[in-house]
Amino acid sequence: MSDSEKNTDDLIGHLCGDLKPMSPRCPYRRISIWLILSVGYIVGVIYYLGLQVNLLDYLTRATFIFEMGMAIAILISAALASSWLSFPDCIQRDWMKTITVTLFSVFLFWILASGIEEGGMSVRSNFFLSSCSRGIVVEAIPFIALIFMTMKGNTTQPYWSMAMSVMAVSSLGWIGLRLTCPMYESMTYGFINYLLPFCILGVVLGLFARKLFKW
Amino acid sequence: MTKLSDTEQWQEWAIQAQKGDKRAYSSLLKALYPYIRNVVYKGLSNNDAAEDVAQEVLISIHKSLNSYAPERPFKPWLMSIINYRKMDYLRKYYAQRQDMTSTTEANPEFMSDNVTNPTHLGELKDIEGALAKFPTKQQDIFRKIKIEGYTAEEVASQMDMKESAVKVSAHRTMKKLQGMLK
Repeated sequence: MSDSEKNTDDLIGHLCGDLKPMSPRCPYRRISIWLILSVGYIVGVIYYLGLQVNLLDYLTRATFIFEMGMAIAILISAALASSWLSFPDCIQRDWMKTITVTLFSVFLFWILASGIEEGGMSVRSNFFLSSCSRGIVVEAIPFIALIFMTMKGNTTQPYWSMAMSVMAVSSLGWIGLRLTCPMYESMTYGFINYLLPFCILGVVLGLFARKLFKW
Repeated sequence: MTKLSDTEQWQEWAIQAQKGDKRAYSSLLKALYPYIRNVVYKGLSNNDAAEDVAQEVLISIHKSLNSYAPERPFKPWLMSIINYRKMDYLRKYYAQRQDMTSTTEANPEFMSDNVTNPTHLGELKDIEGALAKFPTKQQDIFRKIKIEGYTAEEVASQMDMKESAVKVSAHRTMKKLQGMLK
């Protein structure tokens, strides 16, 4: 028996010695818990900050309903995709990424179109550090929880995992802040203060995704 | 009783292993190893590295065994792990190759094997002496192409000549030099 065969046999023996009974991980169970806890957290934030005064008026507008529907759809599809991506054979569910990316692109296009309708997307005049930092704080805890869950998994697509996590949490934050922020009259404002900083943060963290999700 | 195919057998062992059956797990890993090694060998030229990657795959299977769901096919799950580990290895390999770039001064063995020893300049002097017997234009063409590293096209444009004429000149000079220095 060669050295390498002996090494392999030793390794197999060692791995078998380590084996303990386990139940197969369910992709839906943990993400359902995350969704419930995150929605509960956002409800808490809404309760703490108070609902937007014009909310009843907004609820009669088709554009607002469409926007919220899109955000909820992105949240659910991105969270599910993120959960599936923590399985090695996630390639079999590649269509989940396609759905999420399509929804997110439509949402960004919708924001862009609304921004143009509102009279242009001036970053400088719309940027408020306090609003931006509040957006990041609101989204940080669900994001950390989702990253932690992905770290516990076995992803073979770390960059996609990070992208899905960012999309899920940004849409969650968008829903929460859209229902609370009193200054939130324009989509441009929301995009620049709540979505853009978090997406930039996600891109920066995404550079380290391979190390972060190493297993 | 119908005989199970390889993948069906692996799937069966994997399910038993998840329940804690060490014998089934050992059979699974022993059966998978030659398959993994063959897949990895195809992508890597270095046999030792392929062996290492195959063992890494076994460890990864152990770490992620609970991510295999019995209702899903086994082979895509296995192939995803193999490909991931193989890419991981290749990424590290190419990153290290970048680190390995160094100067010739820092590698005296490389210098002695591949670079003309500066103390042995006799050969160079002989070439220079032989080259001096050629017409100046022919010397210039030879020096620029064979010593200074210009392309025939660049030399042709500098000397206002046709590219083919430059190539012919450099080739003839080389042939004559070889004859003179024998």
